[in-house]
Amino acid sequence: MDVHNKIKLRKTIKKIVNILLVVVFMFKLSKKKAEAYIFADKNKYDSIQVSLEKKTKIYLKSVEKKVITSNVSIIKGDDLYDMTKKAIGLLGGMKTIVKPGDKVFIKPNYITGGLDGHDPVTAGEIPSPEVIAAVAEECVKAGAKEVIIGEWVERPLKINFGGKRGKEGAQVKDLIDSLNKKYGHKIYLINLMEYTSYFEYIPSKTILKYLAIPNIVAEADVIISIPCLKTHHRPSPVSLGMKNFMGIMPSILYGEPRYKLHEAGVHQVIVDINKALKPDLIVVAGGFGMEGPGASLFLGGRPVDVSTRAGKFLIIAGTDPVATDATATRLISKNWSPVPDNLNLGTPWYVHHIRMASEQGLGVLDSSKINIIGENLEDLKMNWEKSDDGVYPEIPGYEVNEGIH
Amino acid sequence: MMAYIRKSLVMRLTRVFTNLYFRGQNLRPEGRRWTMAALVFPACRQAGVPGQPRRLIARVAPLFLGLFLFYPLNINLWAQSPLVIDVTASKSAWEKDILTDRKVIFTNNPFEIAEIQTDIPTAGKYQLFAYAHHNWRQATPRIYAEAVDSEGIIHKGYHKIENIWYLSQEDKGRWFFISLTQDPYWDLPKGKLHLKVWVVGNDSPHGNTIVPMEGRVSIENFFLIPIIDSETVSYLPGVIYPETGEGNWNIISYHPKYATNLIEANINGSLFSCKATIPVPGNYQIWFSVLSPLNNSLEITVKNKAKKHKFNIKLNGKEEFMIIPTQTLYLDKGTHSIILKKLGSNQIIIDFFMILPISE
Repeated sequence: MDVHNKIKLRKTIKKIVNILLVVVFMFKLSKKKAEAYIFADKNKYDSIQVSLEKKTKIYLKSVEKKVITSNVSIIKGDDLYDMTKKAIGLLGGMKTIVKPGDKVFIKPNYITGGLDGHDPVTAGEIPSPEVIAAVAEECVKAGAKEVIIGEWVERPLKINFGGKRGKEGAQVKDLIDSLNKKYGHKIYLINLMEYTSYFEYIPSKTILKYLAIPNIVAEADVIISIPCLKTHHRPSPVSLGMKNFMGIMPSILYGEPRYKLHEAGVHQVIVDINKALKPDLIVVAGGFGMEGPGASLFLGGRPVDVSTRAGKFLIIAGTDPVATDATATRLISKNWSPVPDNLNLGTPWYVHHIRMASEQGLGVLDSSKINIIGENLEDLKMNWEKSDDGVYPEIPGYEVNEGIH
Repeated sequence: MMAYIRKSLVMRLTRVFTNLYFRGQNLRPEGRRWTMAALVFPACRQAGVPGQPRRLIARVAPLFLGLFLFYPLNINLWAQSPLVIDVTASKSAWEKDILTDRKVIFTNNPFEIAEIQTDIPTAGKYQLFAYAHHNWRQATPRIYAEAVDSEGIIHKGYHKIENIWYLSQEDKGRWFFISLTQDPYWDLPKGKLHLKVWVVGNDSPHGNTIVPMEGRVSIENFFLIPIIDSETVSYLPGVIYPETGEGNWNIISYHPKYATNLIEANINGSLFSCKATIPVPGNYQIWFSVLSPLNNSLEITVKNKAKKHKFNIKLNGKEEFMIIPTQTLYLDKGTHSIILKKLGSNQIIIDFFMILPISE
């Protein structure tokens, strides 16, 4: 090739390189703009004006398209420890959820039960210690490097890591200590407020735009929720696996009890948290629960011994948070009314955060798409008293602040 | 001769470009040198080729442009530093006092405004925190904040602190770290920030009915904490409570005199260790809330598996709590141990600390 052509070739290559650089630069810019636009678009939720019927149709269409079936296991028995392990076993075992070396975060529904000395376990305020210990043991046996059991509680209040059942005194701390002796010190009981170094921002569709979650939760490889079986006062008729994660939200940012999240639209906040965390397992502890206003004795909740209503204790477990919460809701709302015309949706359709979570792709609410393994759900359905503040039903589109912004 | 002039011109341009581009960003000195070397070497080779200066610049320009486009992927973009805002410099109807050995301003009148002026040295995203005290058992104090920045934009926020029904009657209340930023952060430009704060009483944490104030609300400090941005996620530094650590310092769960949890030591050589996690590698300072009535020294070691920083800080005796920053440390991402060693026999008390990002 002669000199003249070489120079021409060099010039052409230079021009192409410069054009490519500009194109890449413009692409990066436009991608950022597009992301901002898509995010803003999703924030626009005009279906508050859409009728209930249309929303139902939209939801059912989206479920059909995906053709998802979720498994939820239900075990009935006397020994909560063994029942928990069996329930997890029916889902494929903890080895399908926890990989060797994983950091696991377990969030039981601890609140601050038992401050005046009453037993928060038999009061139905916190899950039975045997359920928490069984889940922690399964995680360790599956190879977890670290299992952190925690809740965010404003100091100087202490989390009641005790808890006892009747006169037998099964304390969570004692059970965990014996597991640590057996397997090496891998399980920790903590107050998130005392162990958080920083917060990670996750996107929110609410007016808050972002939510801050503690680094211990953000860094976990596996996240497990262990709620009680509880009805609840406004703003939610039930408090189960998904709502349980409200207890990780920092009081120094959102107040105690997280009123800023309530003001922003707690239903969407619950969905946003679950969307970001993607919980891997929900285990609903059905030893003792609460009906009526729920939450705690202090707030008027009434304890329920599940064995007196269902014949024996129950454990409900699933890897789909929506399906598990929906199943647990159906279990305790046998005669609640009204119910949607489409019976496959049932009472969970009238619980805002469960319905919104299913609509936003977190899981399956439709009972025809939920495969119950173990006991027969219809044989076990109970009619617990819902809260008398009119919280149920939460009709879509009629809530003042669902939270979508 | 010409080749030498061309080389030195390229080196000067590279140095100017690197300093301009990375100005205010958190890039270690070693990082800057490598960047310069990466830029200079190919440019120098080209500078050695005899030819016209215009051709030389045309060859080098795409290299600069490419690095400008691709290099930011790995840079942590925090330019701002945290601020402690001195409340005692406030102009207001709030009164000054000493409460639990802290200099505070306080009010027991609703809507009484405290005004504080401060300077934001670098534009950026900040969260406004306050360290506030109250002893209300029935009603809920609601603290409002409103700030006007140098561009005239108003930023708002508030926080309701739960009534402390769980403390015994003789206790003196409680200190709370609270966020006064309504949004995830305030985007503040460089320059003056005029902050106003006032308090009302609400009937409950969920209620908005205004009720009479049950007592004083005091504020020791305001903190403007910068948000740490990485490529995909943002982080907010938290408050670290040392009583979760281990060692032979005394851990006191709710000290009635100081109305908070804390650790204290008065024996020479006492060791205490706690852990903290860093979200993003970069320059940080540890800010301690310390009470040291007499002169003291602390040996502080910050270490992870790969590195160790060890240094001493001297504390001049003072009867009130102080916020003491350490020197700037470069910390990697991940868990670090913070080991405190008491030097001397005077008492020292630590309430909390924060690990905050610092711009160079």
